[in-house]
This record gives sequence, C-alpha cells and structure tokens, in this order.
Amino acid sequence: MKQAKQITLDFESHDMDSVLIRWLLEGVKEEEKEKFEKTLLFDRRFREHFCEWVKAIREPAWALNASQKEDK
Amino acid sequence: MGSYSKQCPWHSFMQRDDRSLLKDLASHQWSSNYILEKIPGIVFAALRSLHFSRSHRWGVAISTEKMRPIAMQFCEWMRTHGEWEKCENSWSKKSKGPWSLPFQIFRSYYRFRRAEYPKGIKGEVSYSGQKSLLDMEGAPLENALTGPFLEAFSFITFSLPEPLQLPYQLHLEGLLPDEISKLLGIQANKIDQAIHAAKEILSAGYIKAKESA
Repeated sequence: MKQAKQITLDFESHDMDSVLIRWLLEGVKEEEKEKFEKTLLFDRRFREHFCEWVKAIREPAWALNASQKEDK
Repeated sequence: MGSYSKQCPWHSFMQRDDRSLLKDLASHQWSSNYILEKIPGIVFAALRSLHFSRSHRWGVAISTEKMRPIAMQFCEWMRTHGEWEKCENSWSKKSKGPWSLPFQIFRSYYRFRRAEYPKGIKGEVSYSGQKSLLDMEGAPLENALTGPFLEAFSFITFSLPEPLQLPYQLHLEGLLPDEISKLLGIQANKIDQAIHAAKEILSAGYIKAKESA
C-alpha cells in the first residue's frame, strides 16, 4: 500500500477564497492541475470540505431564490 | 469546472458587484440584528445551502426562524473576529472581480463553522457520504473515533490502482460522475467504469480476507 504524501492546503483560509472562485469560473490551470489532484487525493480533510462545497453549490438555486427577495 | 460554473445556479450571483455593500459592513460595527435586517437573503442562503441542502432534496423546507439563532451567532462572529474587514481587505487587492457577497459569506460561514462547531451543528444534514454512514443511528463508533476511522477508511483507497483512487474517493464524498468528470477532465463513462472497478476490487479483497479469517 502506498504511503500517503503529506500535502496540505487550508480549505478555509482567506487565500483559498480567490483560488476557489477562480477554479469555479475559469477552471483549474494546466500547471496547477497536478498539485490540485494530489491535494485532493492525499489530504482527506481538504477533499471532504472541497466536495461539500461542490455539493452545496450544486443545487442552491432554491436557497437563493427563496432568500433574494428578503434583501433590502 | 469552468464549464460547470456556467450551468451552476450560483453563476448569476457570482457576477454581482457588492463592493460598496461590503465596505459599509466592514467600516461599521453593525449589530447582528441590523445585518440580518439588511442582507437576510444572502446570510440565510449560505446557511441553507451548507447545512440543510439534503433536507431540501427530501422535500423539507427549513424555515428562516429555525435558522435565525445560528445566523445571529454567525453575524456576531463576523463582527467580533474582524471577518468583514478581512474580506474587504482581500477584495481591495483584487484588480478584477468577482466581488460577490453571497460567495464571500458562503466562504466566511465555512470559517465560522470550523472555529465554533468543529464537530458540526445539531440538525445539520449536509455531511460527506462517509460521515453520514457513521452518523446513522447505531453506528458502531463513538464520535471521538470518527476522524481516525475516516482516515483509515480513506487509506484503504490507496490499495486501489492509482487511476482509480481519486475518482473513487470523490465518489465516496458524494460527487456525481458528471462532476468528477469535469473536475478531473476525464470522460464521464470512464469515471463510471473507474468507480465500478474500484468497488469490484475492494469487495473482492473483503471476501478474500473474510475467507482467510
């Protein structure tokens, strides 16, 4: 069994805000793809949060539609 | 993920320019009540999406009233931890957008939850696939053991052939084959095959271990 490499990224950090939104809007750049995939593979906590994030934006239209009328 | 974002319901909300709104929130020590009166839609959307998305999938609507206590606590945390200022500082460094407050609050809510509720919030139903198995009634492990158990379970996936590892892990976390496909740039049918093959290998290993025990 392969030993997991220690690659960690703090998913909740402020630095990740702009990275995540760039990934979402523009996609992962070719030069960062390998690091991105290794992080997903070896950092369980990052993977868990990242997937939770993808799932949360998967179907939030109901939440936003229900809420947007409330803003003043 | 680039093409995915255009189909994503959040897309139009990503295009918002909320710089003046964030500047206002960051430069005043507004109370939680005031913030919830001013931008309830944005705050409650983040809570609904993150904590209660599965409730919606099962046709259960979570009322604003039910979410209000945690929303109040979140807004207070934003104020006392200087989160508005940190977000505003981050935006001011960007030469181009997006400057979307729904997205930013969505991110801040993650930080709040990690800081204040590292083990999750009561009533929360937006878990990872692996966690939800452990949270079932009569689950074999105490919560204190959940982290190490998940680590061990995750480690088992490294016994799979390398091309199957990441697709299968993402599948375990609840991503759809189509999402995994877009994320990794692999055709969706190949993802289906990888997941199927991983299951075959792991179940064959389990049967073998059971027979030799």
